[in-house]
Amino acid sequence: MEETQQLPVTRLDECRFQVGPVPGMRVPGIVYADEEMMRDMIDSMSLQQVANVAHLPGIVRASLAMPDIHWGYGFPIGGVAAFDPEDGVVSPGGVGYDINCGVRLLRSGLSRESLKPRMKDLVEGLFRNIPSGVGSHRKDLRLDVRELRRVLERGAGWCVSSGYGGAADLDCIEEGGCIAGAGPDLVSDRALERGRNQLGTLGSGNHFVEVGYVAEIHDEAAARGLGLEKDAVTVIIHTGSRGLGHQVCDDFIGEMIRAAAKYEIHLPDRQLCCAPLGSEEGRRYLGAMAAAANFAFANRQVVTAYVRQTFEEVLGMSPRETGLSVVYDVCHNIAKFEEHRVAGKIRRLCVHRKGATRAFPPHHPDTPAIYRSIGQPVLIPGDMGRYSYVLVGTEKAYEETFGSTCHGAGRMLSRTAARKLARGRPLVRELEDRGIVVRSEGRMTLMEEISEAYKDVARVVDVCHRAGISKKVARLVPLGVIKG
Amino acid sequence: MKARRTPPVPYEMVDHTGDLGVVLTAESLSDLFAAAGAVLADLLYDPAPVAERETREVVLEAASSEELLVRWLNELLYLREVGEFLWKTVEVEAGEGTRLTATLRGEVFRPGKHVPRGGLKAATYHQLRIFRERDAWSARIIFDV
Repeated sequence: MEETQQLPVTRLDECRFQVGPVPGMRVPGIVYADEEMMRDMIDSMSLQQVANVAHLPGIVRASLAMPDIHWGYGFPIGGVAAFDPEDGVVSPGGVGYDINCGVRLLRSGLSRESLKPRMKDLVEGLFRNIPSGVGSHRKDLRLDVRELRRVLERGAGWCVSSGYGGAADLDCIEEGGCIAGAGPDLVSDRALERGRNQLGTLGSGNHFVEVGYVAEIHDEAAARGLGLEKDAVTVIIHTGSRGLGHQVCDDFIGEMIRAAAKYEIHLPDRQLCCAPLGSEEGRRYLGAMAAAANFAFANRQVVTAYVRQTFEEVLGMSPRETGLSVVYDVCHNIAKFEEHRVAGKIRRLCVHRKGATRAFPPHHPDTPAIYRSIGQPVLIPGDMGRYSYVLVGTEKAYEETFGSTCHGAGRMLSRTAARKLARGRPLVRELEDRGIVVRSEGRMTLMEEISEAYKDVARVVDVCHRAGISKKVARLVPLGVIKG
Repeated sequence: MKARRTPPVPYEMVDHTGDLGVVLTAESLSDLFAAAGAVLADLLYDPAPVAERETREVVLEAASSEELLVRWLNELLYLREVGEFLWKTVEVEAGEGTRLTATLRGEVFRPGKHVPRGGLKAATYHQLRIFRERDAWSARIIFDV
């Protein structure tokens, strides 16, 4: 079993700390944090995990961690690592079980005031139309295997051709809602079976759909460019590839443990199991992972259709009147080939983001054309009782973090500790008193997801903003939430 | 030798920030796998109202007892998710530590009758450990939530 060791930590500047080196680390660890955050994590497993990732072959520049870093399995949550295609590796543990877990933001033409009297009905409607909780599914959307393979190949594009949304949605999704090179044939029958009736579902844990409004604008020009106006209603969708993705990860972890032994890769933690990017095992994983990622894009696209349908039903409005359109959709558990500048040279690298968000700068070709002058939108959900943020990517992120930033608030309390703190409290009432209507499948999730279980996302975002790896645009405050 | 367990089975929670970990102890390797299955039931739903109407058979092989434990728990998560099967009694025979045969007795989830407790994505290999001290077998497992 791995042990926590005292790691040398050096402050580099206001928002960056270096971890290590200790023997075995091929590159240093770099953690983005403020002093207090670092004090809280100094003896934690998460720093050890930053150091562990730095042991992997072919890692480039540094093992990075964003300020929402916390203890994961294998890689820390909040970890970013890029690998060279020649001598580097790909690791399912660097992506996570929920492949392409991510966040989508919708803007609307509705004002907060106009929606207030209907919020309870709206939340109830969302809860009815969007299945949530363990093994949740809709009886009216069960795909046969042939159709499901098409979803895995085409991602959100499949949804648009099947009537779930319009072509304009695709322009505002990372990778256009479809990662190239997906191999549906590499996805096991068991994973397909798990995914067949889970398209358009939330699942459990920290996944949610949240109706909110733009409470504060930090950057007028960027907010205008993203179509975000003060007091306008927004919707955040946070979900991923559901059981299909979990199964793909599980299938390949077994394979990668054997591959790591075969290629004689030393692993400080078995969950870091990996295979060379050029190996058969590595290529197979990347193909299956892209297929699962496409399923997640499709999932958020179908949930978007259900959100639109619910708004129209409950408010008795037309699509034009609700005006729900996609601001952007980001992955925060993914491994992708991207071009980055390292020591002045452009190199193609496989970037793992596990609990981290791509934050590409203005004028980058992968930043959607309509946001080209602003930078790629970055969506950072907070906890259900406080607020979330919209940021944009920066040149500095591209230079320092392989174009990456944080992904959320980051847990502070274990689920057991959160439940203890929540025991006996009227959680639904507490949130209602703060103007938030909440509906969840079970009380347990609400207890585990109380605000106090998370760091204040404002502090996390503030570190990213001050470090220059993303720029604050707007703060969103929740009005109604459905949880798994 | 076969071992049979029905929840509740005592276990300790590992204080993991992001996910959920458990440590449990049993009398034999078979008993450890049966106990892990019963603990998993307890984490996923309230086992009290689950009636033993149906059975599911599981046969698994793995390279090590630790890999077998992860595969076993993930097999149970699969049965819960895809067939919505809830088990109450878990009977396991884990011979040589790398092969397992099991019989689960329970019933299919019925809203209103059964109470889900939480979702787990998978059992992980992170800090996974099976260890034996005299006549007691223990395991530490961390689940992705």
